[in-house]
Amino acid sequence: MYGNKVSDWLNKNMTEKSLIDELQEVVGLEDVISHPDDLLVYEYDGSVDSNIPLAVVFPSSVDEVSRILKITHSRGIPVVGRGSGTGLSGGAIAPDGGIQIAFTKMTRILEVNVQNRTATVEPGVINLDLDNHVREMGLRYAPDPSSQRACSIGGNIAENAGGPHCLAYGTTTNHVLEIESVLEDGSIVKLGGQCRDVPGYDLRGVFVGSEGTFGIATKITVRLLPLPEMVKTFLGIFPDIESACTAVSSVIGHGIVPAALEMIDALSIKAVQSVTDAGFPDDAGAVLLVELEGLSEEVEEVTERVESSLWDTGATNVLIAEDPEDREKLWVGRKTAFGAFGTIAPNYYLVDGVVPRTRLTQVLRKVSEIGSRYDITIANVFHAGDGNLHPCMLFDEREPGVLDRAMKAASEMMEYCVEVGGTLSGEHGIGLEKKEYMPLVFNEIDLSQMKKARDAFAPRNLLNPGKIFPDGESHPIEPHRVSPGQYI
Amino acid sequence: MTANTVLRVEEAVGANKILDPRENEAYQLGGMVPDVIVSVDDEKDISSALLVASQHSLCVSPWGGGTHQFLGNTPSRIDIILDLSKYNRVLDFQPADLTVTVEAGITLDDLKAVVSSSDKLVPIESPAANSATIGGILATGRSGPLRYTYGLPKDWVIGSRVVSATGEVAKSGGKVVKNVTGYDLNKLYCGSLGTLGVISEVTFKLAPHHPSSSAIIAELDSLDKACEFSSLLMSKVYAPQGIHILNNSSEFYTKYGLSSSESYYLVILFCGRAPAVLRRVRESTNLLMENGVVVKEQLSDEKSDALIEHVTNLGSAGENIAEWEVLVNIMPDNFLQVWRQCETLSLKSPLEFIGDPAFGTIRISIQDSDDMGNAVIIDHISQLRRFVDDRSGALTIWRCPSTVKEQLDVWGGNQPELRVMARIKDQFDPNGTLNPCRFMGRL
Amino acid sequence: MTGSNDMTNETKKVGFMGVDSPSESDMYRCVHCGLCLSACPTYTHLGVETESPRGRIAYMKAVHEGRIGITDRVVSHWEKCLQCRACEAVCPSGVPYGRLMEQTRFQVLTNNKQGSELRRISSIFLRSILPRPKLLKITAHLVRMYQRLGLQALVRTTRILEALPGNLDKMEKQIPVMSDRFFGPSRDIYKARGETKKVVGLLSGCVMPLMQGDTMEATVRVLVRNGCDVVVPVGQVCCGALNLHSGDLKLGRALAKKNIDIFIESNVDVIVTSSAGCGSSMKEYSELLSDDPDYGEKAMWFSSITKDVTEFLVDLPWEPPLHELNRKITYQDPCHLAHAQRIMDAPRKLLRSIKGVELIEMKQSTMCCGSAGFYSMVQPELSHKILHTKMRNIADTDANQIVTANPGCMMQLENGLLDLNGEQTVVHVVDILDEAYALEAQNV
Repeated sequence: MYGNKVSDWLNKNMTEKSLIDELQEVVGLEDVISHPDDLLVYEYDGSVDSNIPLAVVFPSSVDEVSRILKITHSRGIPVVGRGSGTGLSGGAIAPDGGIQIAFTKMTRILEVNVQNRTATVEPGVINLDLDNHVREMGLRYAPDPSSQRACSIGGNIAENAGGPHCLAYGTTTNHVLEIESVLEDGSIVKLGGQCRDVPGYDLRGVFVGSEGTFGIATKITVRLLPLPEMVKTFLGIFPDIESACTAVSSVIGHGIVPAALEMIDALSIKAVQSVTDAGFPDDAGAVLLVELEGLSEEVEEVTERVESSLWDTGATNVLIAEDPEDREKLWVGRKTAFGAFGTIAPNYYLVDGVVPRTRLTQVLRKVSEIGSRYDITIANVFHAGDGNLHPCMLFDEREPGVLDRAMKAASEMMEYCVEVGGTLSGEHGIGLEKKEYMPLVFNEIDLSQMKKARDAFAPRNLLNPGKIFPDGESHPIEPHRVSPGQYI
Repeated sequence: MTANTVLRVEEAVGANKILDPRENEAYQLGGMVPDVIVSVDDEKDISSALLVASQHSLCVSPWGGGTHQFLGNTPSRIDIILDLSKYNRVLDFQPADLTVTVEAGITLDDLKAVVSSSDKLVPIESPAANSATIGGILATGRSGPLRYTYGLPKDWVIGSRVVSATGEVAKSGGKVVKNVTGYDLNKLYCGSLGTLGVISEVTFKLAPHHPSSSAIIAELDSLDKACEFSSLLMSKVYAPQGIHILNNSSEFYTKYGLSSSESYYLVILFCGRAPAVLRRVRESTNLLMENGVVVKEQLSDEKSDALIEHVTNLGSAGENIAEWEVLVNIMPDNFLQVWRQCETLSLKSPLEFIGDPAFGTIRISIQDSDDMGNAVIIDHISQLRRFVDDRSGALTIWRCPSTVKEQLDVWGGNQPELRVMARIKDQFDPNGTLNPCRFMGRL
Repeated sequence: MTGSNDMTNETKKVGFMGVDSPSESDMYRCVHCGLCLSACPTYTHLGVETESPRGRIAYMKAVHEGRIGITDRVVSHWEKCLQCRACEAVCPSGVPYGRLMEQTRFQVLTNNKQGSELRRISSIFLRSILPRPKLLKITAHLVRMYQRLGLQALVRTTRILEALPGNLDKMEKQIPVMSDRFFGPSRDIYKARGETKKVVGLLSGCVMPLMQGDTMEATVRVLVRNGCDVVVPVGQVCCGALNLHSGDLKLGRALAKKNIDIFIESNVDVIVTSSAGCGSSMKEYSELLSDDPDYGEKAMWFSSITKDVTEFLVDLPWEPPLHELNRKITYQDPCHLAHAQRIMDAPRKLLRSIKGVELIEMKQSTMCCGSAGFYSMVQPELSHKILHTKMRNIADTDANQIVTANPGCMMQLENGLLDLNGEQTVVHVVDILDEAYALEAQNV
């Protein structure tokens, strides 16, 4: 029964009553969730793991966050921040016996400074809301994780979120200037600064992507970029995935780093076409989406090269769109692919490995080999430009033994990514999901250096403990929690 | 003591790695001559030296090209110098992946030469690029004239191997351009001036080489106008890749035949694909000329690259190294106000200015301080620092006579996060082996 | 500690039972990715997972798995759902949320777990009045008299209702201004202007002809103007949408069957409605009756020929009015048109076809206005909050007319204007078309 963990903990500690009281004194009665029925829906995020928190607190200010952390610090209670709970590696899942601080009441865009090209926001601001807001001023917030419609800037900071357009503009870390953060003891610090360069250790830089283990961000200043004069999208249709991979190398080899470079394989094309007409021919082996942005002259000049790269590497057709509506149509297939996998099988499990982009063909071949060896169907839709694979295993968990095979296949894929010079995660984070795989990439010394950084920020390890670092506590995938999909 | 140190280090790294003691003079730091110089050509050398140092409470400073050793506080003690300038191989260059892995001792020029042979670019500039090493540039964190477009050197680092204070080698990041596997410790090591570890290997992501570059030098009669046109240009869709305001820079004036009157000069830099650069230059020039601004010079390709190099080196490398270099970081909307405040420093010798209004830096060089006395300068700079601090900026003394470092905090900054920085130092180098007291807050 | 005990005592953990329970394949399509959150009006206003589509589905799964019973608390979260289905439209996994929630409400109903407010309102309106056209008409007459006689003005000035318990005062505000005449089914055939392109059967609906008879008449005129013969078959009943939304699948099915029979008899080419809520429900008769041996196929036919009036006109295609109307308008997407039927372009195409009309898009035009059937009565506070946001977005557009395509939305927006003392008017897409056509007739 789900309440067991909680009541066991309570029996041991006998402190809940006053903990909840104390938290309510800070934020008010309404803004602490502690009823077990309500807590049940705070057990999950967008990932496969789950754990029920002791309470969820909704602060409205940095001062309240600080007071909450003073309470938890004095009681030795672990804490994790929660934005929208869309993460894919379990980052926002409550640590055992811990509380969540949710940021749905801190959602103000505090300032947009057009001259400095910065925006200062509270952590609960939704990524897309910020982007839409600044677009009215001719600016944009570049990182565009696929969950941007729902995910929060605070969560983006914790996970160093990526997205298709990070190919040209870099991930979240390249766009954050200053973070106001509350540390585990409740103290408030400013990391980085309003200026683009500040002296001292780059605490801001190491904080971004620390998956909530360093501090709780309460105010964030991000950089904004001007909107490009021209955007052009290409859809190259290829007879097979090898030729599409060659096209990726060819585009990059021409000295072109597009704004986005995304690939969809044959199986995914079939799935997409069965759900919506994305304009893909049924017999296509792969399609490649290329997006160029910039001054019209450079886009025009590069257009020819991109086109010839696509044709020369064997494209059977190349579609080009310039105005927003037509471009959106070319993106439809990419954006619906994960959802469409439901038509192939009811469950999926996705690997977020990254490899050097020249190894794509080789790695995809291996992925397919692993798939057939374990008798698992695999579809590929991914950020080809930066080598960020998303091999997606499709299966029906009701088939005996299939889950075990899928997990073994995932493990082999990750091992292979590392073997060819890649790594475990490109944008989803380690969290609970991949922590036991960390030794594939990092030895004990590497990990102990990382722990030193964490210990400097959070000496008592009360912030999101049990994540990132392997501790032998495996988190088995629960069958019903893996199912069809989303746009990643 | 000295003899013991030498012996121990010799034992650890091998006698052939120890430089002739007569050379030690050349490695002095803040007046201190180290006991022993290890010429590193293998990661093990760094590792062994640090292990022995940590075991015997000796202090170590890494040394690259030696071009920026004046930075930071004077270390409280120096026993061993690790000279990495011979540790300079290119380990793995993958042009098609746009990545390169090098040993930290490679000079910036050598690295650029290697990657440009395949039309790739490391978008980093540094004074004295022919001797400044990658490890040193990352440790100091200094950025160049194209920083507005390309960011800081650390933004291009995707992986590293760093030797810890106790000689253990730890890696961080990797060789792929997108990576969220573990903490991004690279960010921490970059700009830490060798106080947290010794950078051994670095993997950079690369940019495609820009096929075309160009530059404009324009003359304006006031600072206000210079700032006004800078922000006007930067707000345009055809904005340049970098823009700089120079004032009183005699070396620059001489080189480009400009009058050293009351003028402010805009150095406007463009790079990218030829048709785009052409349009940017054309539209920028038109905008300036329509508003009656005198365009003194337009330079293309090699000449504009030479201008970038010249601006990078001004007062920092070459024949006219300034005695004082002060670096102010501010937000673009405070740029004009802060520059004006800088100009109120009424010193006898003229101050030379280079400002990057779009990024938000002002570099002030004082060529000859003998006339005015350091005390006056210290006083003025302290006032200026308060002004800058009040506007959420930072003022760092980049270079000054080593004798004044006792009287002036070169780093400034008394932020609450200094406490976190101290804990970082304590975690990574609990015994104070690495460059003790050299960093901000005497970390 | 109190919390966990509450739960253990209260929980009977019966789970869902019977054929009309949320199916596994529907529930487990949800991978709790959270992309629905920003589309959900209750989540965006309350900021808690318990009031989000993902949370509500998690509760369905938990009940199904026997982790929790159908507790009052869980029911209260389900009942806060507007059933606007905005989540469904943005769901990348294609979770049929509308269906899940209807089945869940059915389970709540059969387990006698409905919240008291909902129970009260549904027992009066849903089960007694709406399904009985005569009774509804009588009620409507009473309401109309009440309005005519100025009692409403009296009550509003004296604020007497505020002193009464419950939400009576708020409910009073929601009583819409009645049409002068009641529109209704008849044996007449409204003949097409010119050659007959299609024979249209119009759903008269339950509330709409009473509250918005003018709009119904406008619908007929616009259809006739565009070459359609229009019949409003006698014997038709309420479409059952509100019953279905509240989980009364039984009564909903009975109403559906009645309508299917009537429309089969009427021998029309197409069934048209100007109520988005009804259209959405009728298009789903096929699903509702899929297991019914007698009505399964008939329902499929019925659903396949049901069209929203805007969708139908665009496909026809319509003739753009020749006369100009000079005004700024903004368009509110009815949830059951935009989300349930995914129709967003058609009404805009029609509006843009009127010369001189400037369509200014409001922010979040597809976000619910808070009307949602009886929601505004059951959840007055939250409904009002949601409406407030909507009215702010409308005010930002500077439009002098608000156009939408569903009776419930029209009433709710009129209430919103009342609060603001706004001078704008609220009309249906066909109203403004009709106005333009009328002027054109005058001029010719």
